[in-house]
Amino acid sequence: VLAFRALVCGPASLIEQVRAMRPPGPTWSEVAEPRQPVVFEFHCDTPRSGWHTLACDGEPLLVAHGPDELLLGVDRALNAAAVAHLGQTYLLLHAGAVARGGQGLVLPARSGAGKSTLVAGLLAAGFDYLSDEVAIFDVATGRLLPFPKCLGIKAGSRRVLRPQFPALAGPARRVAREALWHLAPPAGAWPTGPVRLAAVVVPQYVPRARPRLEPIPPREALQALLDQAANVHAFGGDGIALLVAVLRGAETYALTGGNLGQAVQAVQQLAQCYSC
Amino acid sequence: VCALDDELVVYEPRTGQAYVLNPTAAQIWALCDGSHSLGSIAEALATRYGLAQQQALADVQACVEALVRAGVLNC
Repeated sequence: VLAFRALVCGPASLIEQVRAMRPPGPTWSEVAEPRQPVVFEFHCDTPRSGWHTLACDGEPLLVAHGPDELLLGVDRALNAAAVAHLGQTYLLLHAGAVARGGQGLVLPARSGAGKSTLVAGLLAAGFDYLSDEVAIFDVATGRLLPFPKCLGIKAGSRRVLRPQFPALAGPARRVAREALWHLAPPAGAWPTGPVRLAAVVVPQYVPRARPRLEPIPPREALQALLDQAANVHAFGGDGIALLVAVLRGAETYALTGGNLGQAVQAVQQLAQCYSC
Repeated sequence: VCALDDELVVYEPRTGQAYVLNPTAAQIWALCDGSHSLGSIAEALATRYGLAQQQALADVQACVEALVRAGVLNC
């Protein structure tokens, strides 16, 4: 389904770390004959000791100091290349996406709104994983597809999530003062096929506030989806029509608050309703 | 143009903008079909919502001007 492949070349030890940051997606989402791969190549200790260079299809992309900066740069570049390629075929939104019982839930929000944290909390509660950052709509069917990547967990969220995800006890990748943990989705967390959109939940992180899940008019959900649309204009009116069509069959909510456990509980109750 | 709940989503391809018309604006937009005058549209709305004719006409004019400015209606 997802016709994107990247070939990453570099020293074996770092390639293993890149591989660990890129979980394989579900087998049903792979195509037998993918497009020509995008080629990333990195060289260590160039232009001098401790520095690394990254090129994409032969064009210089990044000069990084230290392996963490390089690996985070490779991860970002892979995401950007995937978005550019998949965006030619699919409608992409900056949103988290999970599913339960084949029913999809999209969380459109800007960076820092708590998408990854909420998605991780929902995975721990048994939801299937599609993405913590890029929701993919199949334009032909309106169904949601996975965007295979690790969840990006920052220090504040790590403290909350660590009891549920022992892997977060490991070291972070650090650039400047920012630390990031790459959390692989649990084994078997992928849905068994494309999922229909059952609900849009617009999350807003409000520290220390009690979570509130409140219905919003479909127009507000449409606005939230359009605000986070990566490429809807490439599809013109068809892109808008697709979003309207999927919204017609979906429930629409806003989720505000700062307590992850209670937020997950609220979304679980919602999912139980639409699964019935 | 597609319906969403009781509202109407109108896409303007030249600017790439989408507009959501509330139910009243959607009715006005639908009646701007070349066969209704502003007065007759205002009369229809005045009857439907129990408005004074003059108020309805002012509201219809304001709405039509906004729709024209947005490019989703041509005079």
